[in-house]
Amino acid sequence: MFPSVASFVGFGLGLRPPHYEAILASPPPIDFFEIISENFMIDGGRPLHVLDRVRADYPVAMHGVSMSLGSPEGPGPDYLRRLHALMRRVEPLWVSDHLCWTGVNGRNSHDLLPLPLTEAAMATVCRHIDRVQSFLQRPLLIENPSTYVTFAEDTYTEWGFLTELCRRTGCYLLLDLNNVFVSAHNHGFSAQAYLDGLPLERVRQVHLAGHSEGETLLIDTHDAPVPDGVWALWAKVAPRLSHAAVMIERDDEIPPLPELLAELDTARRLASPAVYV
Amino acid sequence: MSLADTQRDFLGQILATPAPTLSEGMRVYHHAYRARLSGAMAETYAQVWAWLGDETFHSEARAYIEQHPSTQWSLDDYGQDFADFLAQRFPDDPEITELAWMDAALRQAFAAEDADILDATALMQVSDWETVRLLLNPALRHRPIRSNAPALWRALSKDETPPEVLYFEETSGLCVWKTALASRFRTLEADEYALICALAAGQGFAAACEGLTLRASDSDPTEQIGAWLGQWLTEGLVTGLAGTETTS
Repeated sequence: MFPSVASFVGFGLGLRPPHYEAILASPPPIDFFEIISENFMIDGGRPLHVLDRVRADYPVAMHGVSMSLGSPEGPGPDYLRRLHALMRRVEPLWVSDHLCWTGVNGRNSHDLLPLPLTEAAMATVCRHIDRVQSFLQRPLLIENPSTYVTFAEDTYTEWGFLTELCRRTGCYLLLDLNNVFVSAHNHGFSAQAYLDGLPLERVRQVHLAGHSEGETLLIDTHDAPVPDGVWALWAKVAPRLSHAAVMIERDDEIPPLPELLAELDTARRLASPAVYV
Repeated sequence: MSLADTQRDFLGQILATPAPTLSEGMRVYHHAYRARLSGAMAETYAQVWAWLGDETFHSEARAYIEQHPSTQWSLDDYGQDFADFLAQRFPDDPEITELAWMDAALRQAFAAEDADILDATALMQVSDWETVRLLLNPALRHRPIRSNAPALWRALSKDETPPEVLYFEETSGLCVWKTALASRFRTLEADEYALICALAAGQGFAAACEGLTLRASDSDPTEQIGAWLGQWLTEGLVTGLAGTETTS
């Protein structure tokens, strides 16, 4: 059995190339950085040098988008070898990826595709989580995705599925509140019921992000400030997640660092509301 | 339907061209797939994009994406055949293919293994030149070219007006590599390029030199090869020696 994933309490940001110079010139007042693992699963080059310098000053969480835990094949040997090498280099707080699949039969969508929430999917995801956790010798954090379709054959709710995953594999959770908000809107469930149904004690990290609006659906584009609805969700659940690390996640239309730092201040403020007497 | 069958059907709808009649949710995935791949190609092929212009580049990238489903987990690896694809689409404009190749090669070199350049004094310690092999920069990529694509690329990358396109009778070589975390490139005339190709293919230094028939018959091959070797060391094209004993 692997060691548990210790809590890390703090407020962080994603490490993104447009901010490299600013971060190296003047390390910002945050508690950790999160990296997209795949961006650093390379043989060499400047990003790895930047990462080494950042790691010297901050704890780093590794967040992946290509593990494809829900596909029949799961992650391949090249992927796992590179992930493991990066993990040894970074000594991260934890390694996370999504409840999703990215491709099948040698074709890759590079997207976080939705799983039918069935026993068959449960068996597949558990098999791959077990395999990855054994390979890395540490538990994973699994993130809830934004989804735009559901399947008629679903027998689990998403929160029920994640709860059972934790129970069967010993994995932890990365809770993306924007994804809860988006999927709740898209599929007509209650975000509060989702949060009430999750084992929040298994959450080690929280993502706060923005989204965009489609015809009738909300779309998880990570290209906008955290909207009021997601802030409200965070304000409500924050007292129950005081053991988790929190970050603003922005992957596109990336603003200057001060704007994200201001959003992070909002996250801090909502987590520790002032007491008026 | 099994999980795998469901996923094959789902992905089939995403990859389908033209888009089948889909629900709004499936249209989100159908669109996101193309947006993600075209975004990756726009990032990699910045100078061929500038050369072709918005309309032609995006049209060619879209055509490429529909014909080339992604097969790798890494988005960085997508679009590696775009230069060959453009060669078929624009057979009379080799500079387009060569610009695309440069864009991709420079990006690959950027993420390739880092290596220290070889100190020139290491050559003085070689005891057996018959067996020595030069280890070339691990980021090295090369190809023959017949246009002035490097000059075009350089101007486009600086937002300058590119020079007139030139096509040459004789092909030359184009090398891309990396030193001190920065990608770089240089055009090599045919003899120097032939030697680099032989060395990159793993030939020993002596054998590669013997195989070289200098086209400029009046030049001294030993002197010329020595000059090239000195330049390669300065440029960081050579990063090590192998296959020989060195004196201490």
